[in-house]
This record gives sequence, structure tokens and C-alpha cells, in this order.
Amino acid sequence: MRLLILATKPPSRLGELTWVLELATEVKRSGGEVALYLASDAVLAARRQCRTVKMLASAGCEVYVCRKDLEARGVKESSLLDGVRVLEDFYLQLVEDAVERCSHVVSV
Amino acid sequence: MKRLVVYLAAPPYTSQLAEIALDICEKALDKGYDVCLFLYMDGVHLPKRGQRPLCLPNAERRLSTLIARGLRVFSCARCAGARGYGSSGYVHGVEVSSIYKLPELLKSGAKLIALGE
Repeated sequence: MRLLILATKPPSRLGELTWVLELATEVKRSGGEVALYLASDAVLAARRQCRTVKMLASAGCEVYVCRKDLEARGVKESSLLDGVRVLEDFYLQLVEDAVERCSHVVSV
Repeated sequence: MKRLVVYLAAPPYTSQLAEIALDICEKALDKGYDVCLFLYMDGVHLPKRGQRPLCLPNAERRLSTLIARGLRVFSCARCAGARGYGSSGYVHGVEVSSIYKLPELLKSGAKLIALGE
């Protein structure tokens, strides 16, 4: 199983979504893969101080960030969590991943 | 052909969600997928004819370009009617249909990306 999570909300609202964290952790625990795509205000959650994404990344989830949205918000790549991948063609990879590889897609 | 359905329940020019939906549709068309955009709640404002944003990208124009490339667009009849839209107020190529169209589009393994609350 491969779960894709597309997040667009700011970190202040992602904190409310503990069920996503629980879902992703459960998928990882059962041997599945989780890919988290951060776009719009959710790119702010890729910074080192954000606990939710940090927990997902340390649980082995792949984390991808939209470069255009990151730059629009003045966030430097150097301030991001280790292992986060910043994508130039974010939506192309997202679409390919959702259609070709993922069994489930969740948006938050 | 593989199908991607994008569900949008947010209006243009308010948040980034409509733009994201169009970005996703564009890339999915680039990949050669069968792409459907289902508009619900305030998402039904997207195909309105005659949009003239002053300093934002024109969503109507972009949507029309994607429709010309093969994007299929469905607008919930109840949501559209409640906001004063019928097919005549929309850009060419938008089908006003029931919410039951959504599960129909999702048959045979299509993937769904939902945007908006």
C-alpha cells in the first residue's frame, strides 16, 4: 500500500489533523509507504520547528515540497527538515505518483 | 486510459486551491490521462463567464484552455443553481450535473484528489 497525502493548510491547522499522523504511522507500521506533498501554506510545515511533519519524516515518510510556494513565502531551503525534497515540477510528480503508484490519496 | 478526478469545493481568487486544482489538471493532461474536474459548493464559481481579475491570473481563461485540451468539467447542479448559475452563465464545455456523477466518474479505479472543505 502506498498512501499519498496532499497538504495545503498552514501548520497551525495541520496540528489539528492528528488523524493524518495516526493514519500515516499505521501505514508505515504495516509495511506500506507514505508520501507527503506540501503545497500552498502547508510548505511552512516543512521547516525544522514543525512537529507534525518532523514526526512523519522520522517515521520514514517521504516529504516533498513545492518550490514555487516555498519561494513565494520567502522560506529558505536551508531552514527545512533533513530529508525534505524540494520539487521544481511538484504537480507533475504528484499526479504521476497519485495515478501510477498510490493506492490511496488523502487531502488535508 | 487512466483517469484522474479532481474535486474542487473552493472558489477562485480566495485561496490557492482553485489554482492548485488547475495545476493538477494541466499536469495530468500533459501525462495523457483522462482528467475530470468536479466542482462542488463554492467551486462552481470557477467556470463563470466574463471574469476580469485585475492582478491575479485569469481562472476562466486558464480553465477554457484546459477544456480545449480535453479536460472534462462537471458542476453540481444544486450548488450552481443556488448561486444563480446555469449552463448559460458558464464557459463553453462545462456540464451541469448531479452529485451522482462523481461516484460514476470514480468507477473502474480512477484516482481522486479532493481540494476544499
